[in-house]
Amino acid sequence: MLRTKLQGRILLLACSLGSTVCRAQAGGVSTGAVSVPVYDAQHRPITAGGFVERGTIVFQDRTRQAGLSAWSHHEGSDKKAYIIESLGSGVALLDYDRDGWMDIYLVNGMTYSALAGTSEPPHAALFHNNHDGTFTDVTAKAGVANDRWGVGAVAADYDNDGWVDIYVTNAGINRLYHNNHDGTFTDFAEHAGVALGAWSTGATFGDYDGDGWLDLFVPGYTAYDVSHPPDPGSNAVVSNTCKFRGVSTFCGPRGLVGAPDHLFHNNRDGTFTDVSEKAGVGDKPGYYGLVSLFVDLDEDGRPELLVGNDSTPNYLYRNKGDGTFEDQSFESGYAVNGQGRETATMGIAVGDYLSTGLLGILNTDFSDDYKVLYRNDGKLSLTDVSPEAGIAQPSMSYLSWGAGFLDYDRDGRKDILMANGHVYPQVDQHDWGTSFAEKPLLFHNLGAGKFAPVEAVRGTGLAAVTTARGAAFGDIFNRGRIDVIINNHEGPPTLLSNEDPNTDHWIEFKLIGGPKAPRDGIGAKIFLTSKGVRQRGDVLSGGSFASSSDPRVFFGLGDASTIEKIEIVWPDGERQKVPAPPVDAIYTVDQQGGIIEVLRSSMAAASPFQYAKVRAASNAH
Amino acid sequence: MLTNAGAPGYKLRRTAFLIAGLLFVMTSSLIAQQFISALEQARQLIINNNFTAAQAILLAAIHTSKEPGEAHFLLGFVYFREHDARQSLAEYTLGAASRRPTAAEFRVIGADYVLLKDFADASRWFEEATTQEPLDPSGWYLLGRSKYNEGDYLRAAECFQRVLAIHPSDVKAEDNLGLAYQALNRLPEARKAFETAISFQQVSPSKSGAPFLDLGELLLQDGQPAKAAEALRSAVLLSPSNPRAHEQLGLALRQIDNVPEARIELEKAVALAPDSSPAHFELGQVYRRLGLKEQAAHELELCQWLTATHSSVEVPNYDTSQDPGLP
Repeated sequence: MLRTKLQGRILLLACSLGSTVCRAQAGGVSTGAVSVPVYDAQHRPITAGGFVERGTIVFQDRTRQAGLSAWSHHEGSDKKAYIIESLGSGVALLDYDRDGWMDIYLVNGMTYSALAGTSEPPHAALFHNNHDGTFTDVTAKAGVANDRWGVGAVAADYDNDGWVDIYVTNAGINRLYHNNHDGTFTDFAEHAGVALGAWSTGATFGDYDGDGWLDLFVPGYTAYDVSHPPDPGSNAVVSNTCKFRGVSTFCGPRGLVGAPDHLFHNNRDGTFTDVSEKAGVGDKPGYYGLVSLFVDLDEDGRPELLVGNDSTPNYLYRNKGDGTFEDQSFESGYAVNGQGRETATMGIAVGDYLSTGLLGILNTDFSDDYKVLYRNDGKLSLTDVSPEAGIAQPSMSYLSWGAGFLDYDRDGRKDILMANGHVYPQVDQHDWGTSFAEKPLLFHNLGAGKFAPVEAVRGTGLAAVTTARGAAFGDIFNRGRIDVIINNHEGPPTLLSNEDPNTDHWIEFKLIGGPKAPRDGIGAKIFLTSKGVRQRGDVLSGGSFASSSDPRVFFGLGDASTIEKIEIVWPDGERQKVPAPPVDAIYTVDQQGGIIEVLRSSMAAASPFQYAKVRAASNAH
Repeated sequence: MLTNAGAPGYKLRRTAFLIAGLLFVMTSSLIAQQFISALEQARQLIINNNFTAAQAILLAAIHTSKEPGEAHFLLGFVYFREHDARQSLAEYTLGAASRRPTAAEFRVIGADYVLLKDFADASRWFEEATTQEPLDPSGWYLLGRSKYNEGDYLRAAECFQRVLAIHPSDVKAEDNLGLAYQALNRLPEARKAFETAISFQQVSPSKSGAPFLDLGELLLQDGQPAKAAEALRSAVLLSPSNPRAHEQLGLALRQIDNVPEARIELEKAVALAPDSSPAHFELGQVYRRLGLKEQAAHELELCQWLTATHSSVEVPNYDTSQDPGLP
């Protein structure tokens, strides 16, 4: 002990005066060194600038045209004095009315005046897709306003009735919105036994025991009492962790008591049983869980469980196949980054970015920390390849949340998009090279494991500077293009419409499982081979940050106009070979009946908004 | 008439006053001599690193002296050497009531603020020192380090260049110039500075591992693990008790698939810095690659335990050859 103390003292002096570069622990939730600020020509932090005048327009911000800008996210007060006011909320893409088009569910926060009953609470919103590039708010009719301090949404058909349901996590009691098949929902959370009541975050659905019914995992963040918030020096704060780079901020999550995680087994009767302890995923240390994802990482046909924890090590639980999990967090390398440091994980994305058939993992985290890309070496061995992949340095200044692997340019390689925004408004008052509102980061997959940031053209979607949190990815307008919907903290959402000018081919699959696999195919994998390259796509529910993406599996095909082979591995282990259909269409594949439906691209134009104009013009005639 | 000079009582009183005055002068002189002697004694004890004894003598001297300013200054220095920055600053404040601190004393005051991680105040006092003694390289060096810690890398680089203008072959200044360039993303210049610092050492009898370590880390970050390993081997040779040098060499060796040697280096890093969770993690990963499951599990458990108890602590860089020295 004496030795440690002595070394500490020597270190203090040596770090400060000697030649050593010492990486002092930053006050907030990053664990890396204070990063070197990067500015653009106008001396704006790179997180809110660095735009170029000309270049390829990949995304356009179509929020207003789509009719989404009237809705706004709110939580807490403008002061952002407490951590609960900073987290923001997620978003889900789902086809709740089975019309073949993705609808949008945006989670909202809560205000103190609403809690006190003196104002309307901020409502969550369900936007129905009008098939013309616009949406209609159907929240009231659907009965999904939540009106609690909302965090995340995950969409899945938990009762195998063929209609997608929504699980909404809250800082408080959660909701399980059961789909009534008529455009309305009923909250069955209490009845189903999944209401909880603590601070739940990014949940995930998956059939961990292979019984054909989706189970539910819900991470817990911190034990939080709105009536006794964690002020500096209060009993709610274990130690003084209320500073970032020496500046007073809200307290936590370090220093706050962590909340446990919960695994709910589906009883197949509309109810669930909490099996967290028995399954070995209860989070005994009380890490600050923010996001989770059921996904098969070791190719044994059973989903592992990933849990991204804020400021504490992440979990990777290996599915043992007997209803229990083995903690492989540190053994796999997933607990910490390649430097052996725990990170403030906010989001998780998985994707076969190397086309090896193995899923790599991208974790988003705090500013001053690079975002971590783990290469999957098989057998649950992960290697942090962020620096050599070109992800580390460009991502350092950003505080990133929702993320996804998406083939935005349909070249057959999965790219990466991160949605960004800081938690401390104070960062705008200091010259730290970061900002409260930040632009999204898009990385183009160059092949061979290398990525390059895509330049943000001024006035386009990549130059939209927002306080992003949750992000969901999907072919929102059935054009064979992956769009992004982002739920911004304290503001309207951002709809990034994919308007990349490429004319490459693509194909997309909606899966219907059963009778032994979950009806919505969650947990299924599709292997597609074209031009000798074998791609993998998974049906997943959860991940990103507290969000849920389009469950349909999308493949970019480059200039290949034919497909050599398609194989689906269903969650019950069945392997189904699907005859290769023509490209540039969306196919519905039934586990028993093969391809049962085809939807050709009805909106061939790069922008659905051009299509909408055309349609409006023809209607006028 | 206010006095009665002719009276016998007057003479007696006058004599008594004279004796008392003489005694006072003699006593004062004795006390002053004792005070000076105490200061000298304390200085010797400080040189011999016997700070406890020096502290006792200085406290006694302050107690007995009516003008204890110099003792306060010396005691401030003793507290600094004992890493008690707050006490040190309190003593310097008391000392400053008697006279303006010298440049050397300003350097210690600045260093006290460095210990308190108050780099803005540290820079302020180091600036004072450089104003008083613009040709003293140590003031510029300390100011450069403080500016570096403040994140003012440009000013830090300027300060190190001032040191080099006075002492053209100063290894520490050249090495730190490299660090400042690195922080400014001027990587080719950083690399050149590290290499120059290394070249300065070729003719020097005492060599430091620091520029080799800094060059190695730079090359490692730049994706050149083989070249990094070369530099880091020199760092380890020159600073065998620096855990960071062993850790970085271990990482470089692991990247070039020299896993057995990486294991040796990371084992040394862990032995030297047992509380650093990253070193345990890296060693655990190397054990895994070597198929040593039990050892891997042990190291990863240690890593898990350490991260559960507190945030990860980076592998420290104890480079004894880079002692900042007395300001």
